[in-house]
Amino acid sequence: MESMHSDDAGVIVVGGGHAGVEAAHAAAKMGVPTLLLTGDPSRICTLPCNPSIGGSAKGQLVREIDALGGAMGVLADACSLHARFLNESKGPAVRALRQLMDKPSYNRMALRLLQTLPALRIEAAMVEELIVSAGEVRGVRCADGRSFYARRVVLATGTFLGGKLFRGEEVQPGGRHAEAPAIGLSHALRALGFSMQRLKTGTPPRVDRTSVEYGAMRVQEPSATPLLFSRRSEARFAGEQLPCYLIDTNERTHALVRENLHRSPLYGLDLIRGIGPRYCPSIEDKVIKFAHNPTHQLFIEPEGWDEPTLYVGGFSTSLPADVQLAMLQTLPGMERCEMLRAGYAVEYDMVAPTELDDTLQTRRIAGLYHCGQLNGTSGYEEAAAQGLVAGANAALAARGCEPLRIARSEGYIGVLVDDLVGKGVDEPYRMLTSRAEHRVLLRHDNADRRLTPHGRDIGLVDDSQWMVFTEEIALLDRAVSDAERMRLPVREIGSERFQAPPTLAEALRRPQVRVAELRSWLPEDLSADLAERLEIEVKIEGYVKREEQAIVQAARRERLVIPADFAYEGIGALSSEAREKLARQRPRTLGAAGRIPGVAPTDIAILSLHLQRPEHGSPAVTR
Amino acid sequence: MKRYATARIEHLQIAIPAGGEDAARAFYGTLLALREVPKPAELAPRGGLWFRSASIALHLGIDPDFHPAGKAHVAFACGEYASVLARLAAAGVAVANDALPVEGRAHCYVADPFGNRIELIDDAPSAANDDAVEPTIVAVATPPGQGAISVVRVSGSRARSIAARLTGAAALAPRHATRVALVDEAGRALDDALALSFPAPHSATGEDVVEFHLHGAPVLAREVVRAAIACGARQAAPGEFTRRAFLAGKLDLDGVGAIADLIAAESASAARAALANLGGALRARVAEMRSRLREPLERLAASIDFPDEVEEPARAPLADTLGELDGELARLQRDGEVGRLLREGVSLAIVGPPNAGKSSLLNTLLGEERAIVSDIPGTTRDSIEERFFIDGVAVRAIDTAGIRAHADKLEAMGIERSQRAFESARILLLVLDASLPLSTQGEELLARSEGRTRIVFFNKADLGTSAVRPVSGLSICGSVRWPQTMRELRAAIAQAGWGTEHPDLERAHLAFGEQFDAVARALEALRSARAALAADEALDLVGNDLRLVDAALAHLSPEAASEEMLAGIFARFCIGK
Ligand SMILES: Cc1cc2nc3c(=O)[nH]c(=O)nc-3n(C[C@H](O)[C@H](O)[C@H](O)COP(=O)(O)OP(=O)(O)OC[C@H]3O[C@@H](n4cnc5c(N)ncnc54)[C@H](O)[C@@H]3O)c2cc1C
Ligand SMILES: Nc1nc2c(ncn2[C@@H]2O[C@H](COP(=O)(O)OP(=O)(O)OP(=O)(O)O)[C@@H](O)[C@H]2O)c(=O)[nH]1
Ligand SMILES: [Mg+2]
Repeated sequence: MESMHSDDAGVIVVGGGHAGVEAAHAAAKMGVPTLLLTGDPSRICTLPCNPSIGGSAKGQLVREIDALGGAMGVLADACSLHARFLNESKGPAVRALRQLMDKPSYNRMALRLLQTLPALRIEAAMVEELIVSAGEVRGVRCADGRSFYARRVVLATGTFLGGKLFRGEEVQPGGRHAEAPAIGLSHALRALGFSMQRLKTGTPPRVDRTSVEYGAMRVQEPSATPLLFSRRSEARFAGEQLPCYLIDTNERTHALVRENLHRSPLYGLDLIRGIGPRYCPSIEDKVIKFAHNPTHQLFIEPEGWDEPTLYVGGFSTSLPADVQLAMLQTLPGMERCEMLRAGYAVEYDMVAPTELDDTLQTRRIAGLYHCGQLNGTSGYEEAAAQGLVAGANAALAARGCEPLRIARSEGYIGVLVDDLVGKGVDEPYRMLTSRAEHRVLLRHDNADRRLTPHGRDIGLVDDSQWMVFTEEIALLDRAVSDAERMRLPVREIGSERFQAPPTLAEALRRPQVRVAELRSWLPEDLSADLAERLEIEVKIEGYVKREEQAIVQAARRERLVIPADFAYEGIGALSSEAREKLARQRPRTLGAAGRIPGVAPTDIAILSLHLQRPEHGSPAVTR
Repeated sequence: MKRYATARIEHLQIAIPAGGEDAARAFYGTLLALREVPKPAELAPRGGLWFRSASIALHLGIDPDFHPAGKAHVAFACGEYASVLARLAAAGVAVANDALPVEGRAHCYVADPFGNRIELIDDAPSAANDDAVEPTIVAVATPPGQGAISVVRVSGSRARSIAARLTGAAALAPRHATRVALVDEAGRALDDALALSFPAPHSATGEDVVEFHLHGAPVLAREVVRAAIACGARQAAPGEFTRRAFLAGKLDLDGVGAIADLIAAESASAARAALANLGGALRARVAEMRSRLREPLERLAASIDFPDEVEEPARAPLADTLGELDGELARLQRDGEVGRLLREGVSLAIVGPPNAGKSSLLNTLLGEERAIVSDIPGTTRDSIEERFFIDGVAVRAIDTAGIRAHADKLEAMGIERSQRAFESARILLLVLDASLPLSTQGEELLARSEGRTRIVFFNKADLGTSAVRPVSGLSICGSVRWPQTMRELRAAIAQAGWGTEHPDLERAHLAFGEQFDAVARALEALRSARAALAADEALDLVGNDLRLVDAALAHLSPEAASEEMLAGIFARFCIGK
């Protein structure tokens, strides 16, 4: 009997990618004995594709992870060799930070951070099987014959399940470059009845940084001042700041793609069945599907301070290596480049995230949590965000506490989880600002306001982070309320004229006026960072108010809880598609039910009537 | 929820003079309805009083050296503002009303028995917050045009405050018919009526419900509905009372099947109504508008998510597109008015001095002897409302009592109603006797109706035309006895009611209040976007408004908006590293 074994940990995390590391970090930091099992602990938190962390929407995710007390923001700040704000002119709600990592430091720092957690133990092991008894997970069995026991298991196995690598005619099993796939676990999950699907992604070739001519490229300079994800990081550069470069493909590049399509595993060879991401097309896709574009922009990014490689962004391909080199050499400044590693595509199994509830626990097996690329997402930030949610919830469950749930109006993390478990995925899911209907609220500047109290509630935000937060917010709140009252002694600011001397807030509400011009009237103890938050909060107050009102209006539906055992089968008035989907996915609230594709507004109206039928008593409403 | 070192107000203390406990108890306890709690034993000897409720902790402390607080004050938000004021007034407490509402809420100042200033604020939650959950709804509950009594029903959290406004009575005794003199939102007299209040949860819908039982013309019931809407209610959608009743567990339905039938029936009739009015044309118009929004929205979204790869949309063409959409939406709104007209008809008040031939005119329009006609001035003493059709559009004509100065009491009441019909009707048909010199009432009516949509009809031209003179707007001279005049009159009514163009029954119209709301929301957001664009606001903020426009339009032709847009982005732009 499995249950005779004593548990090895409160939570076992399988997989040491961004999802697994964030999960293990959260669970252990919350004080729950945690065991991290991963194929090769020295490759923890590998960045297998591009060197960047953050960017539009993803940058907000990193801020949110940090606000909750997670690891990614701190790690990225410590390894950043290039940082830049995106969308500065497009509006405060969509500004986002993007950094490039020194990849080797990132591995090292991640391992070092995990080693500071006394509740965490790390073991090298490939998990082959889950130990399940009576619908509950009890532990895992590894390829080397060992078994480990725990009542909460978090799977974060990334691209490794049934992983296959493609490059031209070459096909080989693999989780990613030079790493073996997880075949056994994939079979085990299928045998447990999980619904699985095949996805694909790819990575571009890397070239020797000493073999290119930067003179032929457009330079993209990094910020001259340190830009950080975490309020816990020290305001300084992690090391030398390096530029990036932009170049364009040309007709010769495209001709090579077309001439060699018969050698493409995607096209001529027709080997790849998995569905790839639309927002991350291979160069083959770009040339074929956007044939009318004469050029495509590429991004040349360093992968580290001492790394010999350059990442050729936008050039993801699975054509044969010789073709890749020929293509690279058609590019400006790359005529004599050396290719250190060829690009490839990877195809892997994902488990349908509609198998999960909104805490990322599977409904099929109690105590089992899924996160990261395994759920059909792609991207480091998406993986880490889910890792935090899954890890924290496993730890909370181990302690018998209420789970962590983040609403769509509270964070991109909330949008991510709700989209995944509600809508499922049919292509690799990436976070985009347009997925967040409340994005005026989900800003990069206010992630701490939104989420640090949640992080504190679950025990993930430590005392020092909490103190910094409360002090900063107190300062900021005071500055905001003073801004409404304080009248400036002038009537002109830059090119803006006012009828009467404006208050600080009135001045800031003019789109053209920036807080930097008003510095001399701001309290001295207000840091530049807080001054900027003041500007944003004042400037878009009207938009925020309106959004908040819309949320209040939707709140009733969002909070109306559907009993877990609700009998959808008995409701003839529901469309059969809605009935089937609702019964399968079991959304927790009426709001979540409404977002399931195929569930129409009439279905929701009917459901709402049934939920509130007298015999149900008064319906349960959550916070 | 945030946590701060100093978290919230634990209690407030007001100073009172020694021995002031009883007076304080009467004021704070009885008039303001605060609940007194015993002071802790160790503090009791010092005198004073404590009051506590869910969110108020008020301590009254004895100050031997008492001075009233004239400026510094405590402000209470009153859930039953009107009745608190009534109680204060009855107790002879002077109330200083402040005409300027604070954030849309009424407030006033009073002094407690010791001269401490107290502010009272109407907490009847404003539209912004309380109706967030379920708006208060109002509708005529009796079938139209039948029966001697019409019932107007108001349901929701604001029902009682609306009743207080419309009846002037601070509070209605629960489940008792109370005679009230109804006034509209501006305090103008409407009618005597019976009012019944059913506080939640013991009401048909489980919410606060107030019913007004009115006698007299349906137009009056509509007036009351309009006044309730002006006080913050919203017109109930078809079946909405039933639905609320069901939600509150007030309807005894036999199992699931019956509920399903109910819903099916409700939505089927709603759908039929929508289809009848939409005929697919609205859908097409909305789809067209959305497609024009989509290009800039997709480009904006792509430029935000892929900033290095996609340029943001240019402002000038965007401004042009938005300008065009503004025109489109405004047109849709106007057409919506046509739709409303088709459903509800046009109201037409037949007014004029006594004996001018108003009742004869109504009878001729109806083709039947509905109103009593006589040569005695003052024959028609109360308004008569009847419907007839011109080109398929319902015209609700109200024959009124002739308006004149010296009238007996009964007639005066009729005249009062004529005045109201005069004010509320869409079209005025002013009937004057052409054969006699224009009476002073005639002059006055001519002057008062200036600027309104009106038709001046000089009747009895068969007897003479001495009164005829040029007047602004539509004017017709003839006789109700001449078919030609009647043809001209019908044409004039059509002209005044819906313009030269015959309302196209097949054209796109807005079927429901909800659709009206959606168009209004879209237009509001669009105008906000245009203003932001003109003010050089960041494009994402403009986009925020535009997404609201799109969402409101999507409400008119629901589709999975955001997925649709993502698909559009990836089809349009080649993006991704
Ligand atoms: C070739 C390639 C191209 C990519 N391209 C892009 C891109 O263009 N854009 C983008 O946004 N993202 C891209 N990514 C995805 C990005 O790397 C991932 O989204 C992210 O790293 C996923 O994190 P994860 O933690 O879910 O999984 P991973 O980072 O894949 O980590 C999985 C971890 O689990 C361990 N593991 C797996 N199975 C087992 C097992 N059975 N037992 C024990 N340990 C196990 C592995 O050793 C590994 O440490 C790409 C990834 C690859 C490999
Ligand atoms: N010759 C002639 N007599 C008319 C005409 N129109 C109305 N009359 C007569 O005028 C008298 C008054 O007509 P009513 O229709 O009762 O007038 P009213 O405006 O309704 O009067 P009150 O109800 O008393 O205000 C009746 O005797 C009608 O027959 C007309 O065009 N020509
Ligand atoms: Mg008459």
